[in-house]
Amino acid sequence: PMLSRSAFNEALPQLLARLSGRLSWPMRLATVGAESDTPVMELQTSFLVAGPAADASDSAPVLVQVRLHIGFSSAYACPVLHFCLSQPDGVPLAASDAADFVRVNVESSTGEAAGQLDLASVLSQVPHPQLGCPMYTLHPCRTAELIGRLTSASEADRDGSGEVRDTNAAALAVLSWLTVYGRAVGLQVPPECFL
Amino acid sequence: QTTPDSIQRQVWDGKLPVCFVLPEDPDVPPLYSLVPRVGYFPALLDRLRAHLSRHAGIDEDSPGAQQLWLRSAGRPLRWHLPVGLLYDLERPKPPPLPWEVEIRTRDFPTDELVSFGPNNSLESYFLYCLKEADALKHRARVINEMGEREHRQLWQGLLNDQFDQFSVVNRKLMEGEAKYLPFRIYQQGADGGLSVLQCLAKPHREDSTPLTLSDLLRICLPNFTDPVTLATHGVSLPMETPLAWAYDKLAYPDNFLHLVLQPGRCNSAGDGESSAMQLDSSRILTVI
Repeated sequence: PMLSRSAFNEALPQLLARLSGRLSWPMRLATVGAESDTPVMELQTSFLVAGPAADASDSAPVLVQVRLHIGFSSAYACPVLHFCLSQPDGVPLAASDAADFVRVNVESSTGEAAGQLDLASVLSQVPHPQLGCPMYTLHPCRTAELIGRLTSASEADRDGSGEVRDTNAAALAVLSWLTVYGRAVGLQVPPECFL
Repeated sequence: QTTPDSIQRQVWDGKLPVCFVLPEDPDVPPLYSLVPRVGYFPALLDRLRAHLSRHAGIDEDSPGAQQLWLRSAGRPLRWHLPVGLLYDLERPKPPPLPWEVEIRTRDFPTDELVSFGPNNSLESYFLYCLKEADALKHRARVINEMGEREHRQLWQGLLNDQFDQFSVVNRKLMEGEAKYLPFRIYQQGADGGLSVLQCLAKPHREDSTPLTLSDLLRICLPNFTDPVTLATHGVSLPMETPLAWAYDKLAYPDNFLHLVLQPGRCNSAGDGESSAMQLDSSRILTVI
């Protein structure tokens, strides 16, 4: 079953509640534009995570400020991440450092050997579709498939319409997706969020 | 059909004469170039750096050359957008030709401009656009079925101005029934802000007649009542134009129909100010 923008919008308050219940980061829902009559909404949050070590001898952990926007792509009918990476003082990470940050996060969570992941084909800096400012994004091309599987596993399409209409199921599907994709930016979704 | 005289070919061949200047060093001679309307400014970065190295003593590997950006009429050029679209968006009206574009080597506007370089290639961004367009049309089935070789061919065809090389692959993306048609509507504000509208539009209305540009405006801007024109490649389109026809003939190589919203009614099928298509036949400028 497919997720629609309106189902995503309806699931956002529950997603916010589940996440903010366990994570103490600043978090809010924001309307960033409109698509015909439907508002374009996002869950926006900001947090500090350990970045890749500058070199092995560094004892001080490198911290990265992640500004994360969780939105919805109508083209792919699935959630999408846009994010900014900066040093704690606000200076944006250099492109090579940003790529390293994502690469290290993905490799440590998937166990893939260094250098085998073709990051360039899935990570791009693009203008945010509504806000226009440059942000990183992970190409959603395979996400739709994943969401389809997650939502059918949760019986979201009870009325057989092909669309996810159950808000609880939609929120859990987005949360499951975030558990996977959030790792690219060092976000670990606590399992208690699913309860 | 893509015969040499076809609309698609004319769209591809449209070029704009651009004059790149370096205001921070007026002794540096300008660089003139006939830039494809359907191309992208970041594709010229190597040429610009070579020019600065030769004439301004700015080494190609220096931070200034690496953090190069472009400005027009006092505003950063949003160079992730095709060149022709940027020109058509200039306010209050498209600048006189050759289009004077400033090269800047300091103060890269990181909060406004996408940075293209070895870690974020223009090719990868182009592919990102193609994927999204195919997601709208075919649930990304066609682009995902293509291998990396065909993806590269699309990019190389565009980069090297090789219409046939590009078209033989692009044809697969452009043919067949599309679920939704990829388009964006742009409106440049007087303050320099750009609003971009995108929504889901099927090729046909509920009654199976073709969806027109007026229908599209009603879908995207439901409460809008002012008379407006939609233009692309410097040409205003009649509002009764079917979206599917406009898409088939006038989509950019990134597989999106990029439409500029302008106030006022469209008077005719062609605008006296559409300079690009007419200028192409005169080719008055030499490339230095």
